Amino acid sequence: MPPRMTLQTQLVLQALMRDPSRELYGRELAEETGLMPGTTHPILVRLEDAGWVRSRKEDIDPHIEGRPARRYYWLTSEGAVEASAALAAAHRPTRRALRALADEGGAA
Amino acid sequence: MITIKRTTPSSSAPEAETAVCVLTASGLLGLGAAAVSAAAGATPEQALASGYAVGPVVLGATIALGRRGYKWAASDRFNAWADHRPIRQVSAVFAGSPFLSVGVLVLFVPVMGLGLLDAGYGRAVRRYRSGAIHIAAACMPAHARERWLDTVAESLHETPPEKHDALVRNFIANAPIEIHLAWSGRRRAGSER
Repeated sequence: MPPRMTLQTQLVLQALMRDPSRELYGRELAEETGLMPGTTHPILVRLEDAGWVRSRKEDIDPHIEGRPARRYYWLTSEGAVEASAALAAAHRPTRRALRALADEGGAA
Repeated sequence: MITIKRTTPSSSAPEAETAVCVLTASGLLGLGAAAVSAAAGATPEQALASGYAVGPVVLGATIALGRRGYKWAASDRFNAWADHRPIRQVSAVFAGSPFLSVGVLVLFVPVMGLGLLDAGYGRAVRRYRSGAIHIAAACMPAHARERWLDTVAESLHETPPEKHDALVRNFIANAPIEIHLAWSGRRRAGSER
């Protein structure tokens, strides 16, 4: 079942589609979308369940790097096609809706 | 000499009336405090917390006075003086204050607690939030739990400390969706097998 095209989902897809070859991790997605990671994570899980997005956990030793391993997300080729069709069909968010979203979910 | 100790009669009508009056007054005070905070430039959450905090403080003071009044009203000296005077009604009101104090505590302590939690004040609140994250994680199946906690840890590390409260609040707010997705994803995986 295709994921629901909420405003937040559209923002996440747009961020991933800007450069489909690029893998993004939580913080980058938050910056690109203006949403907080707690909001983007369930969206990414839904997109992964739908097969549009895939993810991998970075293979590092957190003790050596001094930070936790990041999880990177990228669009699958099928996901890129489906997402662009879904975004084209989705309602364009109004400026007011975007402003309200920025107010309540501002970047972390 | 035999002393006959009389107690103040307590009728339920003045008690109820007082309860309503005191609750309304504290509610209005709370609203007033919230409005003043908002006007002073506080965020809606801080204004809400001020409202929650001021109401019970004023109520506490009222109850403390009320209880002292109750003791006074139960004394022989007062009874001798107040018999057949309209002030006896006031003593009946004070007699209801122990009941009021319990009712008010039951009503306001959780509300005040929620207000403070909502505004993100204090170390206890942060501990509570950290506990809430772990409670939410415990509600998820193992694979989703590990992944979600990893995401929380990653985000906390990547975010400046002054934004941690907002970040954790955001994760807690979205935890029910995460739990639902985790279990529905697992069910789907099970049925596809």
